[in-house]
Amino acid sequence: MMIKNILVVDDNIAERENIASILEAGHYTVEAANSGEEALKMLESYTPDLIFMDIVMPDMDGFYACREITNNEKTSHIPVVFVSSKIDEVDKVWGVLQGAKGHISKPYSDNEILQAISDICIKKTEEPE
Amino acid sequence: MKYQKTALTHQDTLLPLHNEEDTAVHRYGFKINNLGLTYPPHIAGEVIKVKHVCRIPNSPKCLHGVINVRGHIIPAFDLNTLFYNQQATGNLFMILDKGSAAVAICINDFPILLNHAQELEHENIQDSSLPIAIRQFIRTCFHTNEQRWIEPDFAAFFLSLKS
Repeated sequence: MMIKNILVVDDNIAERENIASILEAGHYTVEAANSGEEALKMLESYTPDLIFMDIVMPDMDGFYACREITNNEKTSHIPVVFVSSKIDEVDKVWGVLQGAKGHISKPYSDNEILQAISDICIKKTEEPE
Repeated sequence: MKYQKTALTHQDTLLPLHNEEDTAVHRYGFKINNLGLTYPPHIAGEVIKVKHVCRIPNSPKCLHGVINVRGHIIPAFDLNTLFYNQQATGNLFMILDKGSAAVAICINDFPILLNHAQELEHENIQDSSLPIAIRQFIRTCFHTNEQRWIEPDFAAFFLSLKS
């Protein structure tokens, strides 16, 4: 599985730009949304290979948006990885129940972001067709 | 910075977010004692672990207290006390809805994803074994292999606890 296009969803512009700059340095193409609602709207006409999503956002939070993405036939194949300061075990378990494929805790390193992409690629390769 | 940020207008956000036909309806179920409860898919749900619940003096036993969820002070209910007169243990809470509409419910175990629940006919769900406090608020009911899951009108139910 090849990951090229990545959607970053975070209401904090500094976080969005930080993750985007890490990804762009890794030669990924990045789009950004500032809420779960905006991300869902974008997904009607744009299909990324991976989504990095914050959890705590105004209006529609990351849990709800992830559930909407993973429940929708058109978008359910897109892996969602949470990038959040919500780092309790319950948050990780609840994230998995919403369909998330990974969870990165803030603050994160560049390597953690890039490693998450590798992990998703490996998981996708191992999944049966 | 090369990435593009698409600006949405207010009108854009009023458009449907997805085609309902594309969406599989998944529900989450949680238990109060042996009573299985679900909530509608359009309601935001979250599970949190709370170390400190602020008790409210002279409040009903079923009101466990209030908790702070990211700056929102919301009521935390102990439905185990209300339904079965047994105090809930543990510090897990199911948060239903968000903002000022949010409520917390003490739960002992993590909710589970109900993938293949079948809806029951409404006639089948009036059952004298159900707690009296929730009977009139039952909207629908699902069953999985071994468990029945009740979906009440939570807004009306919690409103009734106010009075």
